Amino acid sequence: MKIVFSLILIFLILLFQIGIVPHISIDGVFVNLILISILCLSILVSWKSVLGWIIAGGFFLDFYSNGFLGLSVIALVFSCFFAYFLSRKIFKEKNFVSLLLVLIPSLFSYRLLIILLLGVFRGSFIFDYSSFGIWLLYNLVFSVLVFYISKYLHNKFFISKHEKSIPKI
Amino acid sequence: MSKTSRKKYLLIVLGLIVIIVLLNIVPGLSNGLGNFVFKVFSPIQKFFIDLGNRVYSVFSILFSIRDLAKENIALREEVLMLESKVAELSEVKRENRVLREGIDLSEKENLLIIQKASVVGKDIQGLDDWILIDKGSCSGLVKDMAVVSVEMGLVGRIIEVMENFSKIMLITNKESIVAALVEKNRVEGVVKESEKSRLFVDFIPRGEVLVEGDNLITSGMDNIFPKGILIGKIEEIDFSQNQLFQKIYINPVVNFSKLEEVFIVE
Repeated sequence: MKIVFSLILIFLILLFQIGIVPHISIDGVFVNLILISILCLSILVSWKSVLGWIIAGGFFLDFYSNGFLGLSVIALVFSCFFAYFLSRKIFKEKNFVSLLLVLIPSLFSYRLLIILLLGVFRGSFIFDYSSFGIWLLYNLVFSVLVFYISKYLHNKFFISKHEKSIPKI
Repeated sequence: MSKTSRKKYLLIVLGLIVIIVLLNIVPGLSNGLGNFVFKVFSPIQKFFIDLGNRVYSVFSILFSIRDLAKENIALREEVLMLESKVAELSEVKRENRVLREGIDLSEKENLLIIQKASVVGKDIQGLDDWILIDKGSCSGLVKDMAVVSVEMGLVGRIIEVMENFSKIMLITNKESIVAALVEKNRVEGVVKESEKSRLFVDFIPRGEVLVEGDNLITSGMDNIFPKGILIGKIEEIDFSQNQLFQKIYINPVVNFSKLEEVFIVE
């Protein structure tokens, strides 16, 4: 039942990402729901538990991008591990500020890695400061939203009443 | 982390590296996989692209109601002017054909339409400007073929061909370079995308006199885009003192956010 629910949820995220998100861009900048969902799961659960989704999500993003296959996988693995590390070792206090302090560097590292790896692949680096800033802000807003929705769904459907150990934020 | 657990994750990472290397090295493997993924997801994306375009049309009509009457009058005048130009050019074309027949030269069409294709996907990470069409190698498409809109405005070129799909790099992509010339005075330049996400023409000498509204067409000098395809109109001319060339910003004729169908030409 949990697996079926997870698969339906993932399918809905993919549907939104390829169908609806390209229509709600700000200055050509999109929200990356796949990145956001996997990042939030890495923080909530652990990056090891979502490694399969990181790899699948990364390859899916790569097919719909213009770099080499594996580019998004590498960036996702690193940023999810980074998010998990920050939330467990550095910003251990479970509050809204800590959440922001975990999400901002994780999103930043993902985007930067993508730009750097693409630059190495193509032999030229194209960096647009304003576009980067808009991307970070736009995805941060959605990340906070998705985090709280994921937390609610995780508590409601994936852990039993006796196992409620997710700290409150 | 225990030793066994560490070994397990190390194996996963190594396995991942091997898979990534294989996918990028073995010819046709990533192409085949990409073809499969697009076959599954492109109907969904195409449905939402069409839906999004329809919603966009409704909202743009609502927001532009005030300007519609003015635009209507301007367009009527333009149509009349273009009709008289067409009549004039038809006569020139007829004379040209007669002269060519007279000296036994075969008449060659400027643009040959290879295929008509539908736009079924776009970049979802927002990193690059490219679109996915539903025609591939089985329809005779190859890399670097030029792509135009149904109104014959320049869209871009094919950068990747799979069996049933192809990726098109738009002219608004930061990697795109198009050899162009100003239709009126035949000044040549190169169309690129600026840092401010605007199309501009580079390498136009400061001494050249250009007028806003002039048409820009492909020059054919890059051996990719056939000569004579309309790219856009001059929107703004930047004469900043510290530049060797003047910067000409252009307004593309194609509305890339509303592309539904394209032609592949040669």
